[in-house]
Amino acid sequence: MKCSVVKDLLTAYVDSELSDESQAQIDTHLEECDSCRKEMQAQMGVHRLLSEKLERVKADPELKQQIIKKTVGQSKAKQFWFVRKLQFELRPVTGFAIAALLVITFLTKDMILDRQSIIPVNPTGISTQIPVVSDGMEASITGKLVCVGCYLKNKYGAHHDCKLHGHKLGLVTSDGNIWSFTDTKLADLVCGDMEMEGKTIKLDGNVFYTAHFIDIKNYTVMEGNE
Amino acid sequence: MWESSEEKKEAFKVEALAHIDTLYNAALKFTYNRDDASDLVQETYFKAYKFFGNFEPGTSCKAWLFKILKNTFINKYRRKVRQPEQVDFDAVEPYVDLIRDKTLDPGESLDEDIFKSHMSDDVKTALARLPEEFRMVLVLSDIEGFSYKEISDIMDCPIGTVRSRLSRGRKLMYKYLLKYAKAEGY
Ligand SMILES: [Zn+2]
Ligand SMILES: [Zn+2]
Repeated sequence: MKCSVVKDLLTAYVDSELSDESQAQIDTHLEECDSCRKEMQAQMGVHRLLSEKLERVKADPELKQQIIKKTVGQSKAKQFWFVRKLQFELRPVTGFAIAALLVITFLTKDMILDRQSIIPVNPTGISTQIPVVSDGMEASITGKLVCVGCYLKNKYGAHHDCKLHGHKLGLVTSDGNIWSFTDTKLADLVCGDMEMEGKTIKLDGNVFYTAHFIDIKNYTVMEGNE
Repeated sequence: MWESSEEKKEAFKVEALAHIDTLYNAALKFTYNRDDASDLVQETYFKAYKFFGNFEPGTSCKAWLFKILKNTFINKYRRKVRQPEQVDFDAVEPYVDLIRDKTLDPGESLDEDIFKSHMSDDVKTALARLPEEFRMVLVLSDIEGFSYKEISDIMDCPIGTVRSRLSRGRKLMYKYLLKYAKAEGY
């Protein structure tokens, strides 16, 4: 083997990234060639210093706690609003049950749900207000699109980092209730486009009252505030 | 995929959370700033958790996390990081040839004591001086022990590029260390 060829292969030789055959050929060359051997030793020396001499720095316990808390330690309550997709997609029944429970847990006196705000779509074309809507029923809801995270953060000081996770739009109705959307292409069109923020919109779809989710079937932009 | 969010959490704990120290150690060597390193690792884990569905069970979770770490670093932190010695990538090449000619002259004896006598502080300083492209592959290869194939996946570059950056990076390191050793009278 020529020195130039060997020198090109030395890095891979040091890292044992060559075939046994090439590795052996280079071994033979190194026994006879000072120049190549020195270059190999220089690379091997640096490799060993880095792998053996450098102290490994550990992460602070606070950093670890923070990471755990914000990933696997996330409470169901937070998941309900922001990352509950899995439950929703995989186990709708349990998902709803948990969500329903959470809604109840979340209720404060002035947040009591105003069921009057939901107007079911009536085949006759005449909208009638009814006091109770059962889950999955078709209805239309009018409200304003806001980033749910920012809204809860501004209003209640909720912990939510839109800079990191991105804004996600939801619908606020005049009674102060907030509606999220089941994950569909249509929902992405509505809530994935930040230019829609602040617009008043009418949504038709299946309404899941307990979970405050809408499966959007159709939407109409009523007006823009900007 | 996971049957439930609880299963996802369990898998994430076992596969991903075991590497926090490793990622932090590498992040420090990317950023040279404790706060930036912490932020970088946090953001890496938030993204990893969010996109954990993209992780293929059975493959190396450590390599997958490093890829996210590297992308996050390149996109967000690199611009604000102060380089100890910002060297233009192309400008380094003739420099490296110079090293080959001078420090590895067959006539000059290579003193193996250089490596034995070096304190970890010198190694740290030399590594910090390396241009980022070289430093990152050295961290991935020599410190973390990733294979060329894994590094090429993490860095999004061909294996040949991994090899040449490693070669140049190590030679530059050698040059710095030799200089420190001489300055310290070895
Ligand atoms: Zn030779
Ligand atoms: Zn937001």
